[in-house]
Amino acid sequence: MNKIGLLFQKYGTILALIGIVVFFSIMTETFLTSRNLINILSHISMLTIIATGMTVCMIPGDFDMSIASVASLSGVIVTSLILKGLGVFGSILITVGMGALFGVIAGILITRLKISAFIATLALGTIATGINFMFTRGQEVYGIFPDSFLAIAQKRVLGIPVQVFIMAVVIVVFTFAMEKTKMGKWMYSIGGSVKASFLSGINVRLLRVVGMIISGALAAFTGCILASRLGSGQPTAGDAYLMDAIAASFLGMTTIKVGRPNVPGTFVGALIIGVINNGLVIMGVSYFFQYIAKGAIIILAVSMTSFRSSESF
Amino acid sequence: MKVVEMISVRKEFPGVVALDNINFSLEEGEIHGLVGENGAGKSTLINILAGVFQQTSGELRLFGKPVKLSSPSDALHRGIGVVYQDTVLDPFFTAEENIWLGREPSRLSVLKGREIRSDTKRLCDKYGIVVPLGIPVGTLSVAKQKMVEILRALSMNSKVLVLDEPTASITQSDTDNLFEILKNLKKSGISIIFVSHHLDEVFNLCDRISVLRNGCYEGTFASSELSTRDLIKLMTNRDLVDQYPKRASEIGEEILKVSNLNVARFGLKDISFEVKRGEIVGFFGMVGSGRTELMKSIFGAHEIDSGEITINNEKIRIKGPSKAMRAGVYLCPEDRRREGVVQDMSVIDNLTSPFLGTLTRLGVINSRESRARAGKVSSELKIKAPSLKTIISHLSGGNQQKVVLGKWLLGPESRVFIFDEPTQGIDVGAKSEFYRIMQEIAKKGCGVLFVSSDIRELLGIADRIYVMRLGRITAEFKRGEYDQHSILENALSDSLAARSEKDE
Repeated sequence: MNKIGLLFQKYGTILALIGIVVFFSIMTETFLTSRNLINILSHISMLTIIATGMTVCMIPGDFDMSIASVASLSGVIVTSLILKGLGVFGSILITVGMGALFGVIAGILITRLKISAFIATLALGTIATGINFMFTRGQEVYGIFPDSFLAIAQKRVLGIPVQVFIMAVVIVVFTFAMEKTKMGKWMYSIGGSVKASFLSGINVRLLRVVGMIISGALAAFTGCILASRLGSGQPTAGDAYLMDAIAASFLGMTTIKVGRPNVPGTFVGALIIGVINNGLVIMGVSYFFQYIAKGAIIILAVSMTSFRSSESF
Repeated sequence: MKVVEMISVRKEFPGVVALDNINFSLEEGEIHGLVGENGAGKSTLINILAGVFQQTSGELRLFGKPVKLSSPSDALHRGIGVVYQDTVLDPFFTAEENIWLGREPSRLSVLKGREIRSDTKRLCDKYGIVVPLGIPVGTLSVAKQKMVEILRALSMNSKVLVLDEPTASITQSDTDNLFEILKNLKKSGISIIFVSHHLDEVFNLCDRISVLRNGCYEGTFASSELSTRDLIKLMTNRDLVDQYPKRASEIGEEILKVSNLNVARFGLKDISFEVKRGEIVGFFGMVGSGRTELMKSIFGAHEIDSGEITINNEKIRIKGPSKAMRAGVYLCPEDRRREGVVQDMSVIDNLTSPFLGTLTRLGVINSRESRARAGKVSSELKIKAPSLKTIISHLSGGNQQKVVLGKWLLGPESRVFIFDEPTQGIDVGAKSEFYRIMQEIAKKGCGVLFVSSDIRELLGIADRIYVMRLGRITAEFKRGEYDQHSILENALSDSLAARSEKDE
């Protein structure tokens, strides 16, 4: 493939994002305003954080179907703990720890019992949903929450919501951890060739478990932010995030580090989803058509870049 | 000094003794050939040295001291570097990333990219090995990937380098280059264990040769004291008087004709040739000469730009392998493991898959019929497997190759068989058996196309030989006018032709 082709393959998805932004900017008056753009960032911050977890566990070749259920469960747990009188920081810490525990269990199921990651996390997610409903009976957890908790998703600093800063920190930290540290390099190496990694003395099992832990912990953390935004613990609040997180991660694989899951790419993917959602709402497109448009645009974006010059069957 | 010594080493797997009473020793600064048929235990021995397996009993000594190697990285830290037969590199990583994988220089777990690069350059300079840095190794040639693996094996100041079939899938000139490097490494005091099926290479390169047969140690010999025939006898315990069975070939009318075939993206230009019934037609050329691409184009796996393919006097437009199969053209591909069989399916499932349609009634598979037909082919070809339900990856290379062929024999009518490197990586006994099978197929009135990099097997059994270079057919030789030198000359570039004469 020529140089332009390679560049296109690497940055085509970002080009598509720019194209979508230009489209909405022309079609509507309110899309391209700083207020709306901040609004979009605020909307996608939770998606980006939960999808980052998914991306990290995909790097060594696993998958996490339990993230949405864990996020929902986390929302009701963190609110309950706070209402029980535990401090905000402590409650979030415990909740994130619970998410990490789900990751540990998933990791053990995958690496020791050799259950496929897809099935293991599907089952764990179902269990998380069960615990959630056993605990809440399907009722929301509500009460008076301290300002410091509500501030996470509702306060603004310099006109920008706090959660956007949190998202930025998560992106920077995990991009660095995956691209610049041994741990990240080894996780990529497992995803590329388990055999080469094992023969190089890399602890394959441990790092796959670590991937699942990060995924579970970030899902739980997302659940906490979501509860802060809603100001209550909704038993099904996180459920919608699974498909979007998968979409963001797969869109991410089409750019920056083409063919491999990567955190900055996932952010681009989340941006595409956020921009489409927001733009279609502003254009006044009915919500059922939004789903169709979202699906179509994802197919278009991915097919634009994922073509390979090699064999076609 | 003995750098490696194995004393009465035995290795058992559940139900099998893979190695028994192995007494092997490696002297400092020698190149030691390790030979044996497939299944003789070479890989097991290497895996014990590499720390992948631990011996069941017996002693392993390194530099005179008894050791037990707990893992591959343990072996590497003790100075044993292993290059495995199948490439074990992360295709997305660069050469330098692969070399230091698992041992990257870092501070507080943060990678030091610059140091990784400078360490790699130093390593390359030290051993005089050149590999392209900074690009994913998946884009490098197989030979370059081997070099990356050798560098990785040497990166811990290894004193012992183990190479398992390093020449299996690289060209002659790359092999020559590799041998130069190995001889230099030997001069710098590194001891090398070299495993190969190519006995010429072993004689050419090695100081001493150890032979394994059926998991037992048959002895170690100075390569100057041994003839090829002696060695084959030690390996197989039988006298192979003639590796290439003779036959009276009855050559009939034309069955396949290819004229002016062009496939620009593979550089195939103006290819014309024909094959007659009962004829075995050899195709010789270096890797990259377009042989494999030509065969795949005839089989319809690659789209052709222009040209005519005539089968049984009928002009046929072959669009895709299913069309080729209907015309009675069958391909046994070069990459047996990935393209020839489905590794995690059983013998019977592999055998019946192409013509499963003929074994069904209303879409339901007739399993009794399947078993009968597969069983018949399996016994005809003498496929050695515990049962038809055995997963194919458990079979030896030679038996897998028989399955690749066997699945076509279940077909309704066969006219042309294409064998692309059918004997690569299979042992001497199985090779000889395969030649006989090819001749039987020809005898039935089929045309056989036989692609090989091993000129002697072509001289041995082909009725005619086409030579390919850079996507063209450069020469044609009929039996009786075979001349090894001019065949090689036509296959290699002009400058290399002179060298090939020197090799003789």
